[in-house]
Amino acid sequence: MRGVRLGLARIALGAILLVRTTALSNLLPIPLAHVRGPLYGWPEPGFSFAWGGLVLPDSVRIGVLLIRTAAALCFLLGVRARVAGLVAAACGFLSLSQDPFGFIFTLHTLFLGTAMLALGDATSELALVPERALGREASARLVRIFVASIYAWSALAKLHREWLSGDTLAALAADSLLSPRFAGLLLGHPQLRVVAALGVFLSELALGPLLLWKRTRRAAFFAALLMHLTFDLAARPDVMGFVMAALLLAAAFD
Amino acid sequence: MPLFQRVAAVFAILLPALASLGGGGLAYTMYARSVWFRLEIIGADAGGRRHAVAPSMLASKVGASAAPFFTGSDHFRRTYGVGALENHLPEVARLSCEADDRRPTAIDVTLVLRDGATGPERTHTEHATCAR
Repeated sequence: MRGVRLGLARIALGAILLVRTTALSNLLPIPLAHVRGPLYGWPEPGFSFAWGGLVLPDSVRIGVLLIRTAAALCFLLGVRARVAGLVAAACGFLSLSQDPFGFIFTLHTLFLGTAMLALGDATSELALVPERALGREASARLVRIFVASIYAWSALAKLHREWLSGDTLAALAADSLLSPRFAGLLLGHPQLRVVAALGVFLSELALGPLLLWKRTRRAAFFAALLMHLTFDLAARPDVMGFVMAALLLAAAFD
Repeated sequence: MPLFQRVAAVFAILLPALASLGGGGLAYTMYARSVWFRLEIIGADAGGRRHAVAPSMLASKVGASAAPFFTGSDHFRRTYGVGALENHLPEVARLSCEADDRRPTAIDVTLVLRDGATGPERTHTEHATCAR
């Protein structure tokens, strides 16, 4: 697996990209991953909002979605995967731009992660038409920096009283955004909320440096997987755990 | 690491920073903070008479992802990010012009925010002149 982990990461992320941005996503037991229409971003009736007020005509939007889906398939299979990944990511962001109220970090990470993998040797391993290799370590380092930055930003976003006191977790539990078992535990035990909130914050804060430091990289990989598994059990946060697992596969080994 | 990968790394890291500095929502905040909000929409007719427009009325005029921001938002509600609503208040004002059956000549949309159920309020108001 040592020589193909970048390719495996591309296949994993490409599969997630293809499923999560099509109606196939509705087969997943994840309510937040619901896709309206045949493809994510399909035009809906009603007033349209867009980033910067740049609303695209429906025909252009549908064209972008079709290109995104075809590019995602090529990225998954490894056919012109470098260009395909970048096109899929760009089209993904275009679709996000047309639905500002539906913006979610899972899709942001999925599209940006696809671009990060496309820029490296993930496109030259396990590919039907391999791209020219650019350097495996440099490619892994790029993804590693990206993943570490996600954890750092996430930790930074939690560095305030409401999160650290456990109040945000209480709100999430009260609003039924956590699984009933976790919600019951957190609502019934204020001290557990503080411990959980601090645990999440410190885990995210530590994971970036641990991933970047060679000696702790492997341990960080498993710790990150455990953290995402816990998140998935507690809240089923869309396909974020799968996206991060695919990126970690590319980032966490030398 | 080739130059284009260095650029990509900087871009991937700094994009959230730039967005968050500008009040955008790209900094991986992911349910890290809750906020209470309500919408106040006031229309004015040619005679200067003012009337309230129910935000819930707009829910049926927008797509499925935007609708929850309007349903029941005449009263304070808790959510985990109103960046999109705050950034698109001018469009909400224009939409209110179109949706209000009383054919207003102008609309004021005010987003009222507060941290926690009882914290101090802060407001953001947008004004639109309605084309008739």
